[in-house]
Amino acid sequence: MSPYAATGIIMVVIGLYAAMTRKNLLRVVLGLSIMARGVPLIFIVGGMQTGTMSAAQSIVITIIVIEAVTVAVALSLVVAAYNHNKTLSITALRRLKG
Amino acid sequence: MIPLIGWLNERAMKWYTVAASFVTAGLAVSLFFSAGGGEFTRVWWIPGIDASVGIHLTGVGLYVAVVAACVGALAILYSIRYMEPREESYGPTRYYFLTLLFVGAMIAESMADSFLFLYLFWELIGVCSFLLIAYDYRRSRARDAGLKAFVVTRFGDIGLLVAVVTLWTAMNRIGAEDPFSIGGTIQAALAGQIPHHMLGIAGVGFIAAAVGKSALFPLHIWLPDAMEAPTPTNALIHAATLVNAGVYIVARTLPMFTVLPWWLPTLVWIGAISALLTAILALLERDIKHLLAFSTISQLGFMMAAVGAASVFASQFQMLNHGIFKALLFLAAGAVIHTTGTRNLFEMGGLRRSMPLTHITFAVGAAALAVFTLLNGFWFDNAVFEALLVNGHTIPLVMLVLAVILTAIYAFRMYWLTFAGERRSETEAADAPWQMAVPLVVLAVGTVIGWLYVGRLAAHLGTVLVYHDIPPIVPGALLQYTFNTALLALGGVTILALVWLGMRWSRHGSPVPEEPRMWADLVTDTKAFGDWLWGLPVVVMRAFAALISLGQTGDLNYNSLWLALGFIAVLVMLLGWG
Amino acid sequence: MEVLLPIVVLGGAGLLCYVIGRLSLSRSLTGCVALVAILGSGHVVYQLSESLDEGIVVGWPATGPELPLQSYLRADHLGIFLAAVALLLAGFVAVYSMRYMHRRNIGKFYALLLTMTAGIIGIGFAGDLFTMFVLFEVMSIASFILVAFEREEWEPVEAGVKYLVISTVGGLMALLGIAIVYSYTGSLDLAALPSLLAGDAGSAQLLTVAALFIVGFGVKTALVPMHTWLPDAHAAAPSGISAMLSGIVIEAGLITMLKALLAIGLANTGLLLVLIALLTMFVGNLVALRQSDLKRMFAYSSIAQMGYIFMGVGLALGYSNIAAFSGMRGGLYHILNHAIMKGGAFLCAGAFLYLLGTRDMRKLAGIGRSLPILGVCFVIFALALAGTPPFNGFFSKVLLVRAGADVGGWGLFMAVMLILNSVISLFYYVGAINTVVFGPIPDNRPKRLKPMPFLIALPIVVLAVLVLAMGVYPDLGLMIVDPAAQQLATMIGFG
Repeated sequence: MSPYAATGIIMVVIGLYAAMTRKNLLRVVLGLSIMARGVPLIFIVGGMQTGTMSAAQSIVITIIVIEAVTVAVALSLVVAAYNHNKTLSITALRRLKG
Repeated sequence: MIPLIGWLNERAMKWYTVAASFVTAGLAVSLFFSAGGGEFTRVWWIPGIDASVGIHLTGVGLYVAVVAACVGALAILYSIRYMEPREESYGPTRYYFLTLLFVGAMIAESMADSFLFLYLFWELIGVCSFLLIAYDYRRSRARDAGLKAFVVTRFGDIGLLVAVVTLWTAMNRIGAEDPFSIGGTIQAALAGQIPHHMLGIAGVGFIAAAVGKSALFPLHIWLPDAMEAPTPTNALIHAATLVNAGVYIVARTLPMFTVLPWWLPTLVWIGAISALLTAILALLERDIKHLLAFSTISQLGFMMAAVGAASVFASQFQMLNHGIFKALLFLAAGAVIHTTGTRNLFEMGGLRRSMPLTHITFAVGAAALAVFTLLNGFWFDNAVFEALLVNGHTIPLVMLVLAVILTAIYAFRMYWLTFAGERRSETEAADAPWQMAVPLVVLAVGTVIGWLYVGRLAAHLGTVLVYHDIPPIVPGALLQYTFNTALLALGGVTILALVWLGMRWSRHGSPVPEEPRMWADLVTDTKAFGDWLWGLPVVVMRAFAALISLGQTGDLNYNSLWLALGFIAVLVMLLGWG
Repeated sequence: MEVLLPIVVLGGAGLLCYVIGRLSLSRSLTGCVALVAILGSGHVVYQLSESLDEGIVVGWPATGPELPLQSYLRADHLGIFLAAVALLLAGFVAVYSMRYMHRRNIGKFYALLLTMTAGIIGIGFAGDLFTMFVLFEVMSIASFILVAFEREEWEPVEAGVKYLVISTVGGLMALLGIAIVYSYTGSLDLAALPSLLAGDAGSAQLLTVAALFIVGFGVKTALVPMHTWLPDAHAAAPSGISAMLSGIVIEAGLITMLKALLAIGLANTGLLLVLIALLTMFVGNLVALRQSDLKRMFAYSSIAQMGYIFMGVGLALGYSNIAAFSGMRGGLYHILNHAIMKGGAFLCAGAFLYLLGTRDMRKLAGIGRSLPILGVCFVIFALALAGTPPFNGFFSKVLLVRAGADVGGWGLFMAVMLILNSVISLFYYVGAINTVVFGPIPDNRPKRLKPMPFLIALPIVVLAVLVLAMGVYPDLGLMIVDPAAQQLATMIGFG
């Protein structure tokens, strides 16, 4: 496995870890963002290995667009949550359960 | 030919309903006498899975249909007055619509020659019974009883669905043209084309279905609760439709399973246990409707044992008779409840004078129930015993004999408590209006003369049931035979004992033995037993639900953790198997 | 071009809806534009299905891929099935929302609704993994915003945040799987991949990819234990959107997973899916027993119903030699039925919410009697969901059990578990009927309720009639289910 691919997978794991442990909403969103940066790396590696770099590039650009939209929506929801109870803590998001 | 369609698209104009029901009953009866070797019609229903809707008039089905149509018509007539006080608050449309649908579904089920169609109506009956039992929706007990009846019978339905689909699969494998056809399936089974393990699964399924629907042990718990329904509905459920469906289905599919050695004895045992257990419970019961409910289960136990003894004729004849006299008892009891306003036997008594007509009809019904002299119940039980003796089931036979004796005792206890002796309450009591009285009289007459048709019925069954083995029976010879058996002595002793007891009680003016009351509380609190059987699974289920619900913390971190754990679990399992 | 048309029509109409809604603030006008777009793309899908029946494969771009890798769409029976179900439900929701939604953000609402529908249709028609993923994300992002549409309230915001985070993590895991496939083969073509990967069957990499697909798309599909977002999101969303989410979005997730798994040649996933299905249906049904919130109860029941669907699909994958067709048929037929009956149930719950402002069943007690027509519809939906005849849920249950019987032995045991679950579910469905329809009316409820708008009641009644019609004449559904099931069975057979 090339170091680039390893880096990509490590970034995905970091993002997942952030979602599991961070209590701050913004950090969770940052975790998502890191995850979404890791996966394109693997596409790039794949493009290099299989000699289809042009395709890989277009894929990566599309992923970045999707990721940007997702993060924008996420941030707007975070703002809405903050406006409701003036905190970014995840523990405030526990009213719906059972 | 298609009376059932008339049933289904009905509106609630009451007399229209009554007219429709009587027309249907007439049609069903005429079919009964005209149908020869089984008429047959078939329409493709779901071409996608080769499912057709066949209508096949088999003998077994006709019995059920006739009972359902006749008793249904009488019960609807009876409802007109009985339901009057409730109409304003509940709306009669729903009641009459559901009742018609209920009876119609039963007729359709009994005539269908397609397992899928049969199953569809089978469940439709369940839905109708739930909605009818919960008819009195303002009382939470009625709603709960509806739920209970629905769920418990659905446990039986699990078996039926598995059985039906298994047979469908088997028929598809042998390339049958109409894989759902009941007749076709029986043929294939007799020809040995269906593998034994599949037949075994289907056999278990049919037994489970019958036990659930006919309220036999151990799924009998819903029937007493179903007494929350309006009384005419009770008569329908008990006498005409719901519970008979269970017996019908095993009787109908009986030839298929004769190759399985364990199938018939299982039926006999289930029948015997149910008959005896519920006869005991009936003896101890104080609520007249609950008593009748237990008596129904007991009678169904007899029917099931009869099928298990391979005596389809006996069980069908019993079903016909039971349908008539149980409907009679229920409607008469309903008239009593209607006027006295109580269901407790110990608050009745002495109604003999104030309700002469009800008294006579009830007495006829009780007598029939009690295996009395020439009435059909008596004749019939001998037929079952005969069949059982031939097949050598000794222990169940003993249980059944005991149950018969208990039946006689509880029938008379019920009669004495209700009508004989002195009044024990101050309420006014009078005979019912004619809409309620006519069904009573008709049913009473039916009870008295019904058995005379035995020969005709036997001959009829012999011709229309292609796959069953029905010996021809001549009434005269049968009568003679009946009186020659040793069982006659038993019957005679029972009768004498009862007459003596009755005379003693009426002379001493104390028809209320105090001891049974104590027994009732001590030996077996019937309600508690049923509640335990019903409650345990529910409690377990709720406990699991609470446990799982703890996992739904609502915390985003935990949600992500579940996701990661899920991934690891999936990965490990895949790699482990890969 | 034809195959792109429904998506373009819906997307373009979405923009138009936004502009019209913004300018006119008219709910009827915006809704009608959306409805016309839905009907129009429905027409295109119908034409596609006709040309497919004649054996013409419609793809876009029409000329074959010149580049080594190109994204493209292709019409097949599975895609048409998914598009048909999505458009059917979206049409009802569009009509329903004309009165149900508030007028302020109406343009945004319809634009997102149409975008979401376009994404679902695209998933069905996608010809390669990456196109499918992009359209999957289009659907997801639209649904995030729709769940949190009423952001003045707390509940939708909380549900939206959870839904977004969990769903995005899942989506990225699936994307990681796609990236791994790509780096091994250099191709993402769904049709070409099975042969490219045939040599690697059972290798650790491929199994990892399969696990990533199951979990990643399984988040959207609400497989236990990735289901935790669903009850929050489905209960908090506007009722029309709840109907879409439960009725078609989670099923679209399943189709996505199925297409992805078929592309990599299954890798022994069938039995695992059946086990997960078993877990899913038990968890869904048992937890639903505890709910007092009507929409939350239906949300849990959706989890259970997904378990039923996965049972069919899993049996088809696991026993491809005997149950491929019957399992797929059962699963797909249940998707169709579930869309109709659960969609109707959510719309019905939404109508009650609209009148009384509460989803608590105890406070809703007796509402079914005050509104007899809706009450009857509610009974129909609840009984259909419990799988009782003569409603459509009954027939898909029969087909699913058939798949179990085809497998025999162990499969039959699973089928028994399925029916047992439908009995458990009866507790809460009948319990809900007993409360919502037959329960005592609370004293503090006003005697006169506000009038029920015709356009809210209409879709509910039509759906109830459809439930009944498909129960009495199941061939209606089989007509579109069977070709899709046949196609999938063929794909499994050669996979």
